[in-house]
Amino acid sequence: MKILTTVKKVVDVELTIHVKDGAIVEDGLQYVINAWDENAVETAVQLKENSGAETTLVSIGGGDNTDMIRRCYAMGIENGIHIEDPALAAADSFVYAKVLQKVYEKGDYDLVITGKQAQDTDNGQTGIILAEYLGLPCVSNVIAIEVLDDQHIKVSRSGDAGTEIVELELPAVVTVDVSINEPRLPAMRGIMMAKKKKIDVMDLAALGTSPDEVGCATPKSEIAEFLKSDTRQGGQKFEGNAAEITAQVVDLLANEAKVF
Amino acid sequence: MAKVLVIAEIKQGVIKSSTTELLSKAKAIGAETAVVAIGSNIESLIPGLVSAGSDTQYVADDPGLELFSAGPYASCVVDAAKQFGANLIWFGFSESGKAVAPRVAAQLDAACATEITDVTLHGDQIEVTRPAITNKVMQRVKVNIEELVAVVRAGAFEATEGITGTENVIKLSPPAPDLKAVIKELVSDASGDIDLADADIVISVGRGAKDQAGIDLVKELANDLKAGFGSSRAMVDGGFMPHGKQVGQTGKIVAPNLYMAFGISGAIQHLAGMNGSKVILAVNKDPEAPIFNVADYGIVGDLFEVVPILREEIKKIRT
Amino acid sequence: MNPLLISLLIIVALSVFGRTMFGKIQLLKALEPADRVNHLKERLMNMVILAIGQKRLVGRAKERSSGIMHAFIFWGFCILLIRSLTLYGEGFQQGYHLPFLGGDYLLGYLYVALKDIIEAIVLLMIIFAFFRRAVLKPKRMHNTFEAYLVLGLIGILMASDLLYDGARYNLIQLYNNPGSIHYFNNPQYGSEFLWTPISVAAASLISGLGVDANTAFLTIMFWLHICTQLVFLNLLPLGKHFHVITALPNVFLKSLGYPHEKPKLLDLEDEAAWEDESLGINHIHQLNWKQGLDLYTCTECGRCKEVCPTYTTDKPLNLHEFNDKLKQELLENADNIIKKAKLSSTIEQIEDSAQIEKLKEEINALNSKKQLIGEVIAEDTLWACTTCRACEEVCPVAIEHVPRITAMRQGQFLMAEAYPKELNPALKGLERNGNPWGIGYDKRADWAEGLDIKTMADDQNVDYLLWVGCAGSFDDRSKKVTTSLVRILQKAGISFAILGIEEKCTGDYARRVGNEMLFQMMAQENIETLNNYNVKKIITACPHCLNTLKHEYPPMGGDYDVIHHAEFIDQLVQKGKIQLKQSLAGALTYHDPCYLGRYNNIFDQPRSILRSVSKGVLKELERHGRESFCCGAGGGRMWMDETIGKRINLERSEEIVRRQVSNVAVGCPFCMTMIEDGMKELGREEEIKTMDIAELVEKDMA
Repeated sequence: MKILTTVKKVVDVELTIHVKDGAIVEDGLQYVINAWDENAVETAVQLKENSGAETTLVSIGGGDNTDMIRRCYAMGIENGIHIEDPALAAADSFVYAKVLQKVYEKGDYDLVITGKQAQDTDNGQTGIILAEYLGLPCVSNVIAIEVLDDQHIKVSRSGDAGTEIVELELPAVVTVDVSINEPRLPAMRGIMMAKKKKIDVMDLAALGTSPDEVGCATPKSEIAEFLKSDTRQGGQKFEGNAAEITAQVVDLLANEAKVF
Repeated sequence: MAKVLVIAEIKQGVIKSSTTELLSKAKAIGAETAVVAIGSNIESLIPGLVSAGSDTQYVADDPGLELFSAGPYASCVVDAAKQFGANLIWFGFSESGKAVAPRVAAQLDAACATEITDVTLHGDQIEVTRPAITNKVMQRVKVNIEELVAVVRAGAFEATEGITGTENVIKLSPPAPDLKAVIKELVSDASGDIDLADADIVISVGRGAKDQAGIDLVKELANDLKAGFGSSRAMVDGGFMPHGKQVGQTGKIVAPNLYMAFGISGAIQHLAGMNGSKVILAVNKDPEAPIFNVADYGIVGDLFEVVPILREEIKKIRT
Repeated sequence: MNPLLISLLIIVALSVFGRTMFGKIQLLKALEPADRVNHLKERLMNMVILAIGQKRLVGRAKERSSGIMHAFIFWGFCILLIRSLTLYGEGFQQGYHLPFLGGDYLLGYLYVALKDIIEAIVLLMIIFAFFRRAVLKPKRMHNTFEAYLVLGLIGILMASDLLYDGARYNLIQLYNNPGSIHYFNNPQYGSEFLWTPISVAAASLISGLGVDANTAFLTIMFWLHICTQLVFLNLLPLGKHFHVITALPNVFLKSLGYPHEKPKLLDLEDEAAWEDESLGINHIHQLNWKQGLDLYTCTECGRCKEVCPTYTTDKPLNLHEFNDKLKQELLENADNIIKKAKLSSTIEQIEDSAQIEKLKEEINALNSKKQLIGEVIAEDTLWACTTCRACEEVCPVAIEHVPRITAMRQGQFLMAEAYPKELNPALKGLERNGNPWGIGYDKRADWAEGLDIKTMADDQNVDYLLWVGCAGSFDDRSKKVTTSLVRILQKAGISFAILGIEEKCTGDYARRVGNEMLFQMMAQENIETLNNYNVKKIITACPHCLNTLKHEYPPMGGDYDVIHHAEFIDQLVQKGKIQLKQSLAGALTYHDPCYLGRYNNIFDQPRSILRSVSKGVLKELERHGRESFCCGAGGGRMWMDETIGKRINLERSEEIVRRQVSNVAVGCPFCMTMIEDGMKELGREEEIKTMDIAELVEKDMA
């Protein structure tokens, strides 16, 4: 089985993000692998270990992704493709999906595993749109995966009414949630070996396509500006005799907040 | 004129409030409204769909649609959208919505936005705001084309009181099943407990409750108020509460009218799950607990002392 | 008595012994190298005090009686060596004596008197030892056939010699010396037997049996003694009594200075080492010879178990069993290891690369196959250790348990890729944001807001760098300690600055769990930052930071003068830079942090400060000072769940509660967390306040 998994380099969400003049302040930011994609990589590596699959990762944009891709190699991914092109600067989910489609068509993959969403955009669309473009069956928000045979996998999806167990015919696309597994720390030995491994870096032309073909020039939507998030502020805090302050608060809840 | 197609959120035979909320917003921006309902044996819901504020109701009622499957559900929505000529297609914030919206957008070659908090129309130009970078910033997004598919954040739109609609039912032909993604089984969450995502009031316990005795104490209050009963990660990790009850970044995101946090310190991961609540009440022994930074009302005290008093006072108020 | 027979016995016994010893030494030589032959004077002092002086047995208040018991057996042995030589001589020539110890010298008389008393004392000690083992049965003791056998043999040695001299006495004094047995009878000093009352008493036991019986006793006891001794000699290398021979060298060769030999800095760029799987210890052949000697020397006394915080709370880390299992594995692989060393030494002479390859293959085939962790030692055993070093503190033969455990953890991490996965979040956090909680590095200096503190970036021309540490920067409770320390420094007018967001975790726990790669990465980054600012002196409130900065950064290029806040505050008080009012009421106790006390020998300064701060009495906990009981967080255990046995922090908290105090002072953020949590769990957090030294001082400052 040949697996293609996607990894996106995104801003580290542990940091405080400052917004100035409608844009994000880049100074002091650091970039890391998207958490959900790390789960996707772990899923692919586990399938390699348990069912003998061959794994390839693809990363789009992000500048110098060498460290991130090497880390994935150290986790166990065997091949890596990086598509970098200035035209991709303002790419949206549809553009990413088109580029991924081109990458998919160049190889012979049975399964595409992406993270459910990217922690910078939080759109959660790319994987599903890719499946539509490729005409492949797709299940999103997957929390467990099992190989049935060469042509079929069984996945569990966290849905609204409960856990949905779905059988997919390959080739297929799945997007995974963080609860599917705990991504391993890259193996020490893997880190050493990864230093020697090559990454297949291509621009759109080398990929056999063009900015027009993937829709770069005409994105369906664009970010006009960034704004500070409304942060919630603390309200009134009461200390003292439990009976008194509790009565006070219940009174406020009923008459001020009007929730009762 | 804008034409908004709202996908009705139906759960266990009940139309969820998001449907009314989305339709209310649609009317508020002066759009024509339609709703599409997908499921099995949903005829009886039509009056509810009308009173939620829709002027046309597209109904896809088929046994094959009883269990959710993204492919067929997307086909129904596309069918309705095309028939209606919708330029705005809105889903409530659910797993189904998030799974179907991108498919619909791809098939209609529309734009797609997840978790929008507001939508404005400047003539033909659609603009939405939505959170990004794990809720740390907001984006104002300009849509460059005429059609937008969006998933709306829970509680972002307000239901208009006394909203009405017109009955105009159009039956949709059942879609082809997805033969390559076959639903084998649904392992239900339903435990008879009140759904955290829908409840008006949600009450959660944290490490401060210590053990089963503490949990049971707080549960009494939840029962009194018929509130959803949730938990912080600590109590789930400790084996006291099931994972399905976890409120937080990696659990359930809730936005009730009133959220009560007992013995919860307020770690960022938990806050991410309930920050959208209208009113937050927190009870904690530690005056420096971070939860007090987001709580509208905070009681510094021992929950074992406070909860019984709360129950008494609330009983008094409600009579 | 019989020169031929005795020659034969000696030759046979010594040949066998020599052969055994040769094998044992060859095995050690075949193990990895270790650099211990240096600082000879200091090593000699250690040997004199610890081994010969039996300091850890006699000098330890706990179990002093058994310490004295063993000390006498050991000293007795040493003294009686001379006697033994005399006896062998007697086998060749009747009345043989060593120079200056014959009947013409006072020294000779003094010696026989000494020998007499010592033999009696040793015999009494042996009886006491039997009694302890069989009746008192102390928990730490491991009763085996070998233990009783050895006691028995020593008993026989003493008894046989006393009876030999007893028979001699009887034959000489009572039966008119028919065989003309030689004895001391110098006119100046008198009869030998005036000086040997014990032998005379022994004689009275068999005096009534007649001449023939006594003559028989003389001969039998002689040969019994000789044979027992020679058999005993040959039994020594086979079991725990090998320590009789190896203890002195083991103590001589023990680590100096920093509690134990600084861990070898692994060269992670060395590809050959990765190929060889020789980073860390995964297989027995990867031990170095000092570690092999440690295994030979374990006496199975069990003192390590008694003080080990994990063993006493029912976790599967049984140190003497650990030693024993490794020893068995080592001995099983002895032949292969020796062969391997022989082959390796021939490689240098070979030119042909194909032959070298073939030789390398042969050598690798001789590697011990078993994975130490998993097949010899259980995983839970390895990871239970908190690296507190209580075991090393009490081990009478100076075995170095902790570095071995750390090296095995390195092997697990680097080569086997097997380690408790629950460490992942802490390690990932470290890698990404320089702290175990993974909180954004940009928030590391938030605690300093409003406190008017300079960063090195603002002004690097300050006297001291205040190293805050991860807990002090991010943990709510520990931030209060940092703030207290800052206020003290400001009050005393000390010129200092912090690194702010440029500070990263020292990497202490990464190294303790074996993740050498991450440790070296953190160290390199920190050292670069520190050196860029030309930092010379560092003050820190965390003993783990102290330990790492002071001892583990120098081999990587970072040499700083690091001082713990307790030391520094003590200096400030001594110099009068801050005045204390001694206003703290209520009884107070102090919990010695492992990394401050045992690792860095700081015991007095905290106590001196606490006495200046408290008007109540400063009580000591049962387990305090050098034998302080670990809080349970060291060795990376802070980031792991404790699922086996009783929680260590609870055990320690109960001990504190028993002391009936109102305050317990700590000097480490880990200890603070663990003990405060323990108090909360016991429901005592209102009555017993856990406070850092800095907090107590700030409150008490004039």
